[in-house]
Amino acid sequence: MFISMTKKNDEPLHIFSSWCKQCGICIAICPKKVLEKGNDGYPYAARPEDCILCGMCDAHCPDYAITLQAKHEVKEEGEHE
Amino acid sequence: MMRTTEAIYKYLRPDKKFPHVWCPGCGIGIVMGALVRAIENTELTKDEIVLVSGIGCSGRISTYLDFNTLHTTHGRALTFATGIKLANPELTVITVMGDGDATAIGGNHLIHACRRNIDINSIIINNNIYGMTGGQYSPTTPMERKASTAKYGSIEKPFDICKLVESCGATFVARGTSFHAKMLDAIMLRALNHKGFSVVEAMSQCPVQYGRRNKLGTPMDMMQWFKDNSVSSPVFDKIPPDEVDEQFPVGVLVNKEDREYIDRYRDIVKKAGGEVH
Amino acid sequence: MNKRNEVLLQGNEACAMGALAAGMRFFAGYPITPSTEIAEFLAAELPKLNGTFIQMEDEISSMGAIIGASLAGTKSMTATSGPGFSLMQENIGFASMAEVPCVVVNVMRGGPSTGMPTRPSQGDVMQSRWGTHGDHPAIVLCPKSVLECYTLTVRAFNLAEKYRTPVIVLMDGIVGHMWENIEIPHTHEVIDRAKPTVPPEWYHPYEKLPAGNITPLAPFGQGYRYHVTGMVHDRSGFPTLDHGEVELCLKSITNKIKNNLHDIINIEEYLLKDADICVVAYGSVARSARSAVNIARKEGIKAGMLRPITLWPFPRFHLEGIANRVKTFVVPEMNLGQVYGEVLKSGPKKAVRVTRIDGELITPDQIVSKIQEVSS
Repeated sequence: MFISMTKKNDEPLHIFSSWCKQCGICIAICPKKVLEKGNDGYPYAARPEDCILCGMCDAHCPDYAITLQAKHEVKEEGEHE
Repeated sequence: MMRTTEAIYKYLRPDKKFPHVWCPGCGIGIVMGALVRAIENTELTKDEIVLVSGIGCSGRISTYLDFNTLHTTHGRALTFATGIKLANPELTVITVMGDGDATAIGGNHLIHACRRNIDINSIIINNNIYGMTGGQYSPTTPMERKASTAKYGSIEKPFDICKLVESCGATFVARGTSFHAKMLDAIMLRALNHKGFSVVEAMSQCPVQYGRRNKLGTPMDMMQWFKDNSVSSPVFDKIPPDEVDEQFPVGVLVNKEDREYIDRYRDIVKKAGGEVH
Repeated sequence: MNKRNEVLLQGNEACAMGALAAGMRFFAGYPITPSTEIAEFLAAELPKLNGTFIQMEDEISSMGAIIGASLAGTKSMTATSGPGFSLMQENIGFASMAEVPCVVVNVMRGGPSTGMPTRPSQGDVMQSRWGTHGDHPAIVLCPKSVLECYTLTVRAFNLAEKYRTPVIVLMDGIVGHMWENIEIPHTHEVIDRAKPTVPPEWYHPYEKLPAGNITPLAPFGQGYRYHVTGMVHDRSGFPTLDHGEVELCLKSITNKIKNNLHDIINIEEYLLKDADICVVAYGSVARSARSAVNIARKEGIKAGMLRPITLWPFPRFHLEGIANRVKTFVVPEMNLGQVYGEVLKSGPKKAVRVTRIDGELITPDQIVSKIQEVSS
């Protein structure tokens, strides 16, 4: 297994704010404390470099407002797009 | 495995009706995500799936997903589903109900669908309250919890949905929670692959009507409670009954083979001299 | 008539046979007197045709199941009596709102509540029209004979498919349990479910078509994925609260009936051309009424009869026409005057009722004495 993270500064996840209802689940459930609540009330990746792409935020977002960037996906060895 | 958002996009209605109606932090969205991931892991096409829902917060799931969808009357989802499945056994019929929907007004239909062992997949989203109508107590509201119609705390013993449906003959019974989102889609997948009547109880937080009234904290606090009190079923079985406080078993609780209703109906057709297709 | 083609049938059996002839292949029901023979007959016959018979846990679920089966593309029916019919009202409203064709047979017995299970009645005339809540359409057909139990059940399915709506066959305990020799019609019109003519991406299940045509209902599972709800919905079936859409939705479900009265309404007129007295009777009572008219004629009284075969929508225009010609309406019925009230709405010079709620049939004599009373 390898993580195909090409650019270090890339955001690993994207918050779709028009669907986000600011419930705070993603912030609380992230095992690496990547997310924080921004000044506008919406979560943002405060420590993107700590993201391990576990998918906890994605699976627990009740509003489907978090997208893990596909290029950061954990891939099986030999599996290429 | 496909991520939730990707799967949701695949199965959402083309004219996306989002953001959805559920309150901030409501667990129903998480359960719907798990359902979509489970379906993604089957070979089923959208056309082969009929999603039937009842009335209440959970009933709105049928609006959002791109299947043949039917939003029935309160408590009656299983009755419509029975008609659909019998009329066209090729279809995969999934019903989504709430706790009040399935076990109060629809309780009679639930126990008889279990008894018949008809091949319908039921998901009962249990948030311990009637959310849509403003937080009245339901058959699964725990004793002493407050509701808008239980101002001094509920005095009614709640149902254990899984025990109820097991005793009525459901051949696949499982429980998950919104905290265990990934486990939830795994058990939903097993339920979908089970031939016979299956029930997945998805425990879900209602932070607004239930949580706030009972001072249960944030949506995450309520999910944390699921995490802290859930015990995998083999482990749970080893806990002496008098030591069980608020813990509850999760995972697949019943998985047995029994002849399915439509299979048995085919015998009737043969006996009557009809041609089985 | 070739006598050899005649068979001795009970009204309930004839109804069930009519349903099979119309292509009904799904029946869900719950035992209740005096309709049970319909279920019993179909429990034996449907499996032979690879159709489905299921005895559900109650009448609520029976109604739900037939709607589900219809959505899956199968013509479906349930049969019940008063108390069961009350339980079905919730989902009859759903079928009206969601425009799902299906047939509900109600063999009326004495009410209210448990009433008199083994005695006939016509007490559900208003329940069959207004039993479910909200403004909704209703098509109700009312047979007077065993033959009509057959033919009107076929017609009920045709109207259900044509107008995408639940249709009620309102029998009474006498018609349901009566035995008569009938010749089963060998040819009758059967309207099958129309198929959508547009590709799935253009399909809107509640599209309002030009000239009042009704959008065909695509069966579930055939590529036309859409949403069905009991909530007020837009043309694609999704809930809406938009004022314009709400009005369009609610008016269209009633207008499709209102704009086709000529097609839906069916009446029988008997000796009405020169009549001074018009007896308005339906169901089994119409048999007594016909005899009463004959007796009155022999006595020199110009009596005639109007029989609404389609009870709802009520043949109001026919009555209004007759109200101008006759002096008096006589309305015999096995209730306290449910159709009598409708007759009053037609603006008659005079209308009287003959009511009976003791569980016995209204006899010709009772009607004759009322005719004599009003003609003297």
